[in-house]
Amino acid sequence: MDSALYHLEGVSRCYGASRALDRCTLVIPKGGVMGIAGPNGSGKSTLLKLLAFIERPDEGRVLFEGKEEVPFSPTVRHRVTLMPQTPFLMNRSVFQNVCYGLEVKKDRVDVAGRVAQALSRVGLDAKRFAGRYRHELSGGEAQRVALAARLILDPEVLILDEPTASVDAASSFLIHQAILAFAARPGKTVILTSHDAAWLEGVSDEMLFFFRGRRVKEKMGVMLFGPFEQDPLSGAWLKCSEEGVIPVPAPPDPDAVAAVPQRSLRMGHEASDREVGFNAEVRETARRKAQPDAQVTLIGAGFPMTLSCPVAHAPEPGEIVRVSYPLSAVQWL
Amino acid sequence: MDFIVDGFFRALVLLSHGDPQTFSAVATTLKAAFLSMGASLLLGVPAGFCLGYYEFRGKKTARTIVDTMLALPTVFIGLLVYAFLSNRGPLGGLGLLFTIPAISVGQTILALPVITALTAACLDSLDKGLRLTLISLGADKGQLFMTTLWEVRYGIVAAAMTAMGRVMTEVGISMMVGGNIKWHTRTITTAIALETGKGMFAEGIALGLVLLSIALVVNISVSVFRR
Repeated sequence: MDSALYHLEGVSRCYGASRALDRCTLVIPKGGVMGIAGPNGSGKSTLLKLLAFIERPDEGRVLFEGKEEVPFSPTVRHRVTLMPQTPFLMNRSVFQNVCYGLEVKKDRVDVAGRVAQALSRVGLDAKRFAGRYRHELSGGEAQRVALAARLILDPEVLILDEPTASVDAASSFLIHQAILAFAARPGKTVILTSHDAAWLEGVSDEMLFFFRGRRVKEKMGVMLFGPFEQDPLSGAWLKCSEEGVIPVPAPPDPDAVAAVPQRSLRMGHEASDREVGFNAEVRETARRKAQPDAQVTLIGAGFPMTLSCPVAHAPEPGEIVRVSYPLSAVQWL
Repeated sequence: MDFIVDGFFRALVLLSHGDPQTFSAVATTLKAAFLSMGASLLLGVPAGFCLGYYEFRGKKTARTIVDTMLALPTVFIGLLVYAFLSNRGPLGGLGLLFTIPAISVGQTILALPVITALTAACLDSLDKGLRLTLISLGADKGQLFMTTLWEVRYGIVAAAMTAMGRVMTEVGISMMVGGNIKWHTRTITTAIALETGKGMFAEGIALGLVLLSIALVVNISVSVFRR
């Protein structure tokens, strides 16, 4: 039996003249956590809307358990649910917001008990919160109510678009806990994006990487946007910017986008004959207890990136470090 | 000035003694308004929903036409309805001229653009996240429609109140297609116009007070609903 939950075949989605997702083909297996990563505008949210059958693709097909499904299809309506980045709570009480999904399913079994349980899963006390309205909730509480409204449905597929974006640390922790508890249950699939790249990589069984509406093979550490210029003397192709000059291989066209995989980037090494590089400013250094490596967030070539290095050699914020990579590692997107 | 004050007190006497002519006009007004409001809500809310919720070619043109219809003069509506319902008109065979349904038809034309335009404006300003949320929580198309309308319920009530205000206070349509026939098609507003013409201010003021009272009752009901 095919264990794939989703098959996307050449799926494209356009908004006006902009192509948010471009001929995307992929398979998502049943069960586990699938993380989706990519910079802003890479098509992650569009992909999630298509996977949740909120929108139809303009081209291609979205297959769910081998069958093509569309929005409002009875097969997927109560099995797949999406929590958007900005949660929307209806102009009714928290209780009514959480039980709305049960109402539409005409499921009236122990509604009060299940609402209380769903709220407690996200760290909210039903007695205190059930009667509140959206204007009486903080951003983090609203996000947790939105998650409770999904968890009460006990879906097979839970899709989360940046579930902890713009919420406080306490809410973020509780949301992460609730997601992990859900994902640990047998037969459940979680598909999510998160700005917290380290957390996303940590919880995901598999990762998909996107850039400009296209799926890319691996996580890109840095991207260099055209135009590129050719040095008339040496013939080398260069990306010239205020940050400096960065050599690249010959581009397919002057406005192409170059990407260097994360795994090819090294910090603190001097450029050699086979390696090129650029200077980057350290913005943040995160050291975690019992972890041998620190996570260093840098800005270089106009692009933010997070690299790891041994805690003993971790640079401090404000320092300028050299980031290098083999010229052969550059990919054209 | 005395005749106004005197008219006011005589109006209270007329109302407290249950003057049959006054109450006949009130009943006719309410019947016509009930029919026209029912019809305009039934047609106007779905039309406003389509106009505000969906994106389609010609939407801007449709909005402009509906907005223009907001300024339709009641006498012009009366003229059109009269032309259609008179013996020479295409609907003359229905025999509706100078009846309450005829007044309701005209008032529906008056109220429909108000309901449609204000409902569309409510839906236009609705957070786009609602649709995504409802579909993701498993709503079907019918539930999506009903829940969306429920979310803008106060806006629709405000639209209905505005339309009701226009319908209850118009004179042109009731006069032209109702004919202001005593005991049959005389409404509060046509009666006020007639009584004022005759110099009978007490009756006119009494009827005006009834109109205000109806507006007050409707507003109190809406306040209770909002709570």
